[in-house]
Amino acid sequence: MGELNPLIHQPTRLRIMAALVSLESDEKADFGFLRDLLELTDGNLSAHLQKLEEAGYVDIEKVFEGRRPKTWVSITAEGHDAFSEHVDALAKIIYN
Amino acid sequence: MMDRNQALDDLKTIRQIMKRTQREAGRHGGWFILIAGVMWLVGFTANQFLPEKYAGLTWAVVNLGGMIAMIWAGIRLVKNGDIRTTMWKPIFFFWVILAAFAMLLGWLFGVNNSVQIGLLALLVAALGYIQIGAIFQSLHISITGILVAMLAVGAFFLMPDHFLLAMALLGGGLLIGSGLWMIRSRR
Repeated sequence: MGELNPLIHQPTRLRIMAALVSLESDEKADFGFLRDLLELTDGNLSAHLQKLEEAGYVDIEKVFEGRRPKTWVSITAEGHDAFSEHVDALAKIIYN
Repeated sequence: MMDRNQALDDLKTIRQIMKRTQREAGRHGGWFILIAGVMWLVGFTANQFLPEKYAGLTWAVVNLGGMIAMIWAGIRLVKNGDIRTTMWKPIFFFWVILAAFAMLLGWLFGVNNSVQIGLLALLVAALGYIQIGAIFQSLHISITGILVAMLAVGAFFLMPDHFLLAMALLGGGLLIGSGLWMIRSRR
């Protein structure tokens, strides 16, 4: 059983990680998609994604598609493991 | 220290977000189901009312038009979609293999009239929807497949004389309705 992860424990980051972990392994989510899905502002989402990226939990790819800038976000293997451990820790609290 | 109720709330939030994400991510699949629904509606209506030669011609046009529409929808999704994936190729080959399998079955079992061909095509397509729904964890797509299979078998035995029309209206209508519902479903 893992420990509660203080970085993921923050409510907005918990929701971001939950959204990313539910995508297929090869899938990346558009920044705007995440923003609308989680009902966040651009600035708020950016700030939380930056923290998750610094921890190595998410991968952020900024590209130009045609003339439009696009930001793709995906969860890393490390992020997957950290999220699983966090969920295990939540389960441990509930069932102990 | 977190208490039990807070942990329960967090797990509930995680479940809700995961469900919502999967639904939103799968929403664009509705376009393909909608296009398939229009194809069924036109094709099976032609089978019911037109001589076999013209119905076959109608299906050829419908299949070509449907394929072009699906490729166009696929390109649009890749360009403007919310989710970037490399799953399109395996999905495309999945349907090609399934279509080849249906043709092989038809040939092996000597399926030769339009009602039997229709039933075989519907059941194989329904199997495809159930499988795709299972792979992408989309209950909507799998349920659509199950309903299509039930409708097809039900219509085949209960209204054999109007099977093709039933499939045009009920099967095509179900697919069009499911497709529209998926496209329009919002959180």
